[in-house]
Amino acid sequence: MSFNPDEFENNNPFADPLAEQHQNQPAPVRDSTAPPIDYNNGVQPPTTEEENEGDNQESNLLNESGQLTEAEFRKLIPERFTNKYELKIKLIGVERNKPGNPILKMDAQVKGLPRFRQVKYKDIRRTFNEVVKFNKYLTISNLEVFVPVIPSANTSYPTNGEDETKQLVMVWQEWLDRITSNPILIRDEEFVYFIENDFGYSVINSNRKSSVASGLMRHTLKQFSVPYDPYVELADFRPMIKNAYLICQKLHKILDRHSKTEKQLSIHIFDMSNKLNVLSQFENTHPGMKNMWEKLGKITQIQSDLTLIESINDMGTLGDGVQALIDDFYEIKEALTNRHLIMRELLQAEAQTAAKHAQANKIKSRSSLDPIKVDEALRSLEYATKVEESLNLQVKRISGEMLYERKEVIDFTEKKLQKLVKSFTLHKVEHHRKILKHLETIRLDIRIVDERGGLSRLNRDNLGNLKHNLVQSQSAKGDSWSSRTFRSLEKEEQERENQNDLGESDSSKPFDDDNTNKSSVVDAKNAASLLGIATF
Amino acid sequence: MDNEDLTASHWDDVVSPNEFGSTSNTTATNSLHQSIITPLSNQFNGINIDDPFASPLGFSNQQQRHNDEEEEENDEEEEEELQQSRHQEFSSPSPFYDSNQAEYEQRNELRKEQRKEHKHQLLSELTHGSEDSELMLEAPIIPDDLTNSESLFQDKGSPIKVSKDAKPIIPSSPTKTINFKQGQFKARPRKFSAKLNVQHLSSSSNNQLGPLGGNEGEKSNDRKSPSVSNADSLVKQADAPLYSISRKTDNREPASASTESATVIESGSTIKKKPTVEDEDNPQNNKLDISVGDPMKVGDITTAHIVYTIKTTNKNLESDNFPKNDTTEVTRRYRDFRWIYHQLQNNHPGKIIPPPPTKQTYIGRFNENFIENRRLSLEKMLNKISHIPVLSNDPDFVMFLTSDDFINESRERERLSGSAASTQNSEFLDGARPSGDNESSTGSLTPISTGSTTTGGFMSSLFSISNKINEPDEYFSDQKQYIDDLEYNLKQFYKAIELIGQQRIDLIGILEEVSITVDELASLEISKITSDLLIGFSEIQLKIRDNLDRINLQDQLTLGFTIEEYLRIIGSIKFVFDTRLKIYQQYYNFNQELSKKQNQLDKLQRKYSRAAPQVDKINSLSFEVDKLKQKTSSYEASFNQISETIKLELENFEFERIDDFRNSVEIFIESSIESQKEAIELYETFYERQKLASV
Repeated sequence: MSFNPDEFENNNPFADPLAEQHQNQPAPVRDSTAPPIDYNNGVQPPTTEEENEGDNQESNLLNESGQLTEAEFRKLIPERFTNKYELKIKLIGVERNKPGNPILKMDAQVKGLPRFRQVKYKDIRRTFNEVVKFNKYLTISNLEVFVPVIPSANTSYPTNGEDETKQLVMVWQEWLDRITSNPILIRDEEFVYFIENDFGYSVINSNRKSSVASGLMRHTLKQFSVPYDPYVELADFRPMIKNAYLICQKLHKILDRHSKTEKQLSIHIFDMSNKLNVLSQFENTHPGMKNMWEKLGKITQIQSDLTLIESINDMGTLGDGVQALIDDFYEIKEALTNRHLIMRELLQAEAQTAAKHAQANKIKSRSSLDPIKVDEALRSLEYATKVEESLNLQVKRISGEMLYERKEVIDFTEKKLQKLVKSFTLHKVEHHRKILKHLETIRLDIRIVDERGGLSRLNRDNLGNLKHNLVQSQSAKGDSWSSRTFRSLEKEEQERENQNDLGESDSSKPFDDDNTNKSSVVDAKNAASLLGIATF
Repeated sequence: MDNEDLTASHWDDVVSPNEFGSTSNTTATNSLHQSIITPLSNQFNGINIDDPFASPLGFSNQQQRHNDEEEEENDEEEEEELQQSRHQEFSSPSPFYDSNQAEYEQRNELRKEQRKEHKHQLLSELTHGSEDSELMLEAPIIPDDLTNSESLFQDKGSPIKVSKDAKPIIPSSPTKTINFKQGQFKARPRKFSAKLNVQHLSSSSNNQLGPLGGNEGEKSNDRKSPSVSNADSLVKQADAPLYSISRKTDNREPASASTESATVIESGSTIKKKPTVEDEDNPQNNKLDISVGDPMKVGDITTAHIVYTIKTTNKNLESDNFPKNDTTEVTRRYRDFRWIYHQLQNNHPGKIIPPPPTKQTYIGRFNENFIENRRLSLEKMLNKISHIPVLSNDPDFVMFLTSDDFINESRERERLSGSAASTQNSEFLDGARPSGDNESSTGSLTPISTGSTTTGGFMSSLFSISNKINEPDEYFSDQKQYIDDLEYNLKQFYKAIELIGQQRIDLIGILEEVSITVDELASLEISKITSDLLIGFSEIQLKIRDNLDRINLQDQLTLGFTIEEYLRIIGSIKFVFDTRLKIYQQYYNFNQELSKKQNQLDKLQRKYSRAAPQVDKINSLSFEVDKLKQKTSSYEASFNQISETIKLELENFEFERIDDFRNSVEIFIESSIESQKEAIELYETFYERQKLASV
């Protein structure tokens, strides 16, 4: 990952206050202590990057001070080290319902998960609002996971249009794939209810409240300085995500303005086409001119339509995608904040334990022992130690899982942005190509206004053949102005499929780290469907 | 018999150079003026029957004076015939107006042919009539009228000298109405009497040559080019109203020229304009290559302004109208361009002068974009002027291009011509509609409204000549309507383009913001691929922004500029219309007065036809009538003249409009195509480079 804090001086505000004291201790060789990694699953613990810089004293020290070892990973997040469980949900359709609340029709397939009564479920129907509630529940109950947010049912495309449905199916399928590919989320018991319930699902475990502070309390807690974070990646991740969140919000606003301006522009262009039509009607003495104005008016009108479509497409492709990213980033940021809050709790618990310990010691050193007091002190010490222990475990689990999640989020963002930019670019190209085509069709109409021809004639007198230089510059052979050959989307897709097949067959070979990682997390079929959606 | 011979020879003289064969004077003008004059001159004949100087056939002064009654009959006959012919002419252009769908040139051709046909028809008819009348003209001479005229020219001093030195001034500003009056008062009676002198003193065969020869001599004075002499002769026509004959012979020059051009148009079936024909004819025309450059800010804070350097290259050193040096460089400010514009407007009534750009509000005068735009417009204006031979040879224009002491010289010329060009109101230039400060500019050309503005005799005037006003107005009211419509449409078009430009500028700003924001996102380095992608994307947005910026500017410079220019030209056209109306108004007023006086005279004459105790009164009255007649006919002539010029100019305007708009639309389309190609290329390259195909 390029976001490497080691390149900079360690001015980490959360720097380990104890690090200095530990400096003279010998750095333990982690690999020796770590059990062999199960490469058969294709799983690589996210600490690989640490290994890459294994000589680095600091990272080793950090590791010493708080990094998890492979064994701990296995113990803390066993879900990540097994592929026994599998859940696949396929969105087969979106039904129209009340505005803003369509019905999702899904098929589900379960493998190895307990408490499911069937292997296959067909035609699960959930309204969008139900899914949103389910999504919220998942976010609250799985503090260690960056639960993706389901994209809004409102797109920038015209409501109930074909484009909207297409887009919704695409983004929702993507969302379903993301939550079902998460090993921790699919173990959530609510999933059983979500899939097995009849029409009219509501969250069963709705009484489970958020275990972290919210509201004013949360706001106050956020004002405190962030507790020391032993995981540099996660420590740096939150500010990055927060910035990304803010910038994306800004970008979305600008894109929105862009789209509105373009819409306005299309109105103006339409206005001009009207004016041109009036002008052509007015021009009744010279048929050539009349024809020219008419054609120009027609082209202008087409251009206005195309501009309008483009303004929608821009928002539909890039704008909606950025909005989805914004939602995601927000939830990630909140999850990271939650982690901080829990870490703070842990610190408090540690302090509590230390205080209890000190108290117990004080009692022990007293000459006269009050057995009740001793008992109470021991009990409270024990309790405090237990709380600390559990919190410690919780923090460790959250941190460990988030290390995985972080990678996934970065991967996803990368892919998502690529996809967005790709579809945006394709739309733009199409838009400009259409305009170009129309513009080229009326060239002749302007040149034949009268027999003196246009400027293109360059004052040559007897140029009977005006057709030169009037061929369409775009054809199946490619563009006449460049050497580029025709870019076939079908062929590209085929190549992509081939590459995926290749990637899957060679998944054991580390020829592409990201790819193999991905295929481990998302299995091949999932990945194919996930990637295959982006067809145009 | 002598008379007969004389007339015959005269007819030969007059007629033989004319390609139309034997012709009567009135018909010649009529046919040329497309039946506009017909009714008016007709009317004169009717009204001025017993006035010796009103005789349309100047050569037959004596004859006509001898047989008033016969003449009256004759005139009546002629009038009938003319009315017939007018009806025919009326009906003849109608297919042309209706055939909107027909190709423009075709139509043009057709019109020309029709006109020609009608000319022939009319001519044959009328000459027939006049021949008849001539046959009847053998009647006893009445000497009384002769004494009348003698007394008249005795009243005047030695006329020839005065007329000679009066001459050169007159052509410079014949139509500026206020001054025009004065010029006429000075010049016309003298010339008139001078010719009378000649007529009476020399043999009658000299009679016809007299005015012609005199004209030639005058022509040689300022014979810079035939086109100029054309203008001069036209002006002279206006100044010598009573000599219908000599006027006709004079008139033949421009007439034949126009017919020549007409035939050229017909034969070539291509759109050749009159100026091109003249170009070939006259090696003396200025051929100038003008460029306007180096806008420089001069003066202190209070008088700060921009001066432009005008560099003129003389391509035709033969030309007498231009100093013989190769290149001249002068500096002028915007105000001076306006001056030359107005000066040319005044010098060439009826000509559509290429206008300078509009005035600018005080703020933003020194904006770079604005100055460049203005420079371009000014250059275009001068080049356009220099391509019109008449204007290019105009001494004022030459002075404008060459004079080192422009301020004083322009003042001097302005004073000489009395044009007041520097103070001339030109709201239309600045986009505002002409305000109704004078009645004629309120825009209505209908006879009723023009009639209502005249003093007195409204009803009678309405009845007496409304029929005749209608005719010339039809074309012009149509044209005016057309020009107004065109202006409206172009304004709308321009507004639309401006709005689009504004919106695009907004879009450009937003694209830049997008680029910056995406750059920020890239700098977060979520991952290497993401950063690369986003940086690339941000670059693309910047390039697209540049592309949009360019095409926007291009559109403004092609379509926007052309439309703006034409809006200004339309302003010029409107000014020309107004000028014409003013002249018409003058003419109309004088005509009214004339008919009133004429009636008085008639009454008096009838009253004292036998006993003559009030000879003085009659004489003075008839003198007044004469003067009025001169005025009327001079205004009529200049009115006809300007109408004719406007028609030609409007035709040219149409051709140029088609040319210019076709060209700018073509540039517009081509540049749009290129910009689309560039956009496609940018996105395709981006797509390839980021390997988005494999995403």
